Amino acid sequence: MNYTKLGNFEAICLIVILFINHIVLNLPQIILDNSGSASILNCIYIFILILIFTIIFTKLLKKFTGLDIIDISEYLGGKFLKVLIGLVCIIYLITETAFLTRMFSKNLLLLYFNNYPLAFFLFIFLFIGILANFIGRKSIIKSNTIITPLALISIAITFIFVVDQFRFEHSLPLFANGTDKIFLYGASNIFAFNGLFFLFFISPLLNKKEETSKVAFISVLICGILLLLAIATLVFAFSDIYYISRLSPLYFIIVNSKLNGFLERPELIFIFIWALALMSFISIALMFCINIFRKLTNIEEKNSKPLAIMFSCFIFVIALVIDNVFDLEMVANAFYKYGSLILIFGVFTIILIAANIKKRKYKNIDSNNKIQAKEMEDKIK
Amino acid sequence: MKFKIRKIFAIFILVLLLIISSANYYGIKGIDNLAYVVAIGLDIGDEENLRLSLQISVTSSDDSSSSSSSQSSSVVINSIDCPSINTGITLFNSYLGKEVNLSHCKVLVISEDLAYEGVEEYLYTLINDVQFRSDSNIIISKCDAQTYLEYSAPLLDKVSARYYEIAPTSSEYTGYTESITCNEFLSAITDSSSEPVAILGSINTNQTQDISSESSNSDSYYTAGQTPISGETGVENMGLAVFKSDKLIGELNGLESICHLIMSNKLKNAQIRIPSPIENLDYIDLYLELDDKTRSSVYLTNSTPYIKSNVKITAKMQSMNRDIDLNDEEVTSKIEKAAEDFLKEKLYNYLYKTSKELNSDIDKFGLYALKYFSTQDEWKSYNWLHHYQDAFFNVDVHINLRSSYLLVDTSEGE
Repeated sequence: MNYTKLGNFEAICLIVILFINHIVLNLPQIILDNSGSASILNCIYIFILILIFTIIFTKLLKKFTGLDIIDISEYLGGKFLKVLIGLVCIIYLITETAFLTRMFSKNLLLLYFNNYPLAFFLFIFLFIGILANFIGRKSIIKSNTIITPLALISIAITFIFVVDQFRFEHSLPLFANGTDKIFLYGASNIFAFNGLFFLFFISPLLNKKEETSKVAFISVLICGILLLLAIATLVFAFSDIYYISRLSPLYFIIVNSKLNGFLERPELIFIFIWALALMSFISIALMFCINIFRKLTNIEEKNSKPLAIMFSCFIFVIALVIDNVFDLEMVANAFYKYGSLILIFGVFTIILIAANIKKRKYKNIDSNNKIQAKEMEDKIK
Repeated sequence: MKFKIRKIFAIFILVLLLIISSANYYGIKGIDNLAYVVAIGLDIGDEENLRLSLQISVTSSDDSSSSSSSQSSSVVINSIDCPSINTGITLFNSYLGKEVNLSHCKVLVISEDLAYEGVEEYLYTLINDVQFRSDSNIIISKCDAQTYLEYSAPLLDKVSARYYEIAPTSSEYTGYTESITCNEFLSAITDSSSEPVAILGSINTNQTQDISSESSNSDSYYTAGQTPISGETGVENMGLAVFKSDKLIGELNGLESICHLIMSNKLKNAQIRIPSPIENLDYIDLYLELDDKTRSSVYLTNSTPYIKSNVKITAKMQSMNRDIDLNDEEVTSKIEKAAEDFLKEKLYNYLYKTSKELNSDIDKFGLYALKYFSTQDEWKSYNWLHHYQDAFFNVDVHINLRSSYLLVDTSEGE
């Protein structure tokens, strides 16, 4: 299959963009609600966990360099497993994108465009995604390499402007709601690193396929630092952050930062950058949906671009399925958390382990066969 | 070629859809459709629960109407008795024929009477409002909020919104109050380790002014409205309103506000007047700033908090007279000692006032006690805010008289 090849930096941006979209919405709030003043401790804990997982993933992927999870599924369970995993991945991507787009559009409407219909914003975001896919993959990847660092810088800047409000005592009591909430239930917060989903697809796209592990570690490191920074800022700067759940903690930081001293509405700049990040993610999600679908159906590349419209329609419909915002947040958060945990840390891991076992087994059989053949030859001689 | 045409056609259709969906008029509002509120006032109403007053900035096209008193012509104040803030705003929309917009609101004024009953509900309601900026200042008015707004004349400023933005920052060079935002106030209400304070404001008239003996020795003993200023009646922000949870329980005067700023590490600059230990001066005015952060630590002895603080201050001498040699170490150490004793006494008075009299930890000492508790449940069952009334204090004050201003030695001519 003819792919657009990715450099390491471009691949890292692909993985990080999903994380950025989550952190802009309500990822920090989910962690804070769960762990309270121990959120920093929980972050460090899940960061260690994700590093362990990354080591496992990269080790398991090493034997399948140049293959993505769909190819590995085919190797393991034939066409059936390939189609099954492919469809699950497409559904996951579509649902993830639908919820992200809906949540962001909902916030945008609530804050600035009260009288506009929600469908209008969904349409704009999806239209950009479709257009980007029509223009080409290269443009999506290149624009993402500009938008991701921009979004990262914007998030980092929000933290700088509340440094003067830091009180390190806000992170006490150390174990907040109990150690079980940090280390047992809190382990599920590892879903924050669901950007790793793309790790299972980028291997064939990389210029240097052997550097998949390097890309994975750098991406995890960036996400981990950013998450820790976000949580630490919220915990240290705002004492009521555990008691009052807000629309978007990052938006809350900006509105209450020193930036207001010299800019009338600083949040608008940030929201614009975050909207770009969402558009970029939608384009990428559509691109991957098309790629996976092509693998499953053998559609030619030149005929695959209109598929973006089809997937956008699915996203559009799913985004509008839940009308009630409270229900939406509950379902979306549950999907982010359990969907990611089941798929990335469950299904993908099992497939990789099973595929590795299978490969080792066949390798042993091959080597046994070779030995037997040699013995036979010797006997004949 | 055929594919290209199809591609162009698809893009054309999409663009067309975009234009059609965005071309609809979804109630786009211009400046003429909106009434921009610069200040909100909340009082206890006559018949209903609440009296909502709005200070609305009048746009240049229709600035003919204005309120009485000293208010500038660029603002108009209206009040309405209503069951809730949102109902009141809707009634205002109907009355004004324009949509009230809170996005430029700079200050929330709550009357003392209403604050005694509790303000939590109003705060949450306003913070929940998308237009309302949580960085607006909160002022507790000793008079009606409506009267406060009527007399809040920007004497040296043409724009009311700008006036409200700048006025609370006076605390940075006076120390007589603190710039408190609605968000900070709400945080302190929800926080289990501290209590909130708000800016104390009032109108200043001959009737409200205080000319008692204690106050006449120093300006810093006044609270809002008491300063003996002659001139047009205006508003004055001085001192702090102290809350227990969301209910007002007391107030701090100018000097106590300085003590609060010292203890909570927020002091920028302030001026105090101390009895002079040297000849030729009865009182000495010192200009203070924090030399280092005030270090506090809390120890729990039999569940009773023992709070130890170390205050380090740099002072500049403002008062001067003939025959004073500030190069003389004996003179400076005498002044330093006198200032330390004075400030120590005032800090003790202030701390025991917040603890025994008001039972309100406005200096966030609770944060230093958190380390003794490993979980939130333990902390909550201890109930710091209840135990604060049992607290006892130990304050060390170190004042470093760094300099005077332009005169250093006036004794050489003798």
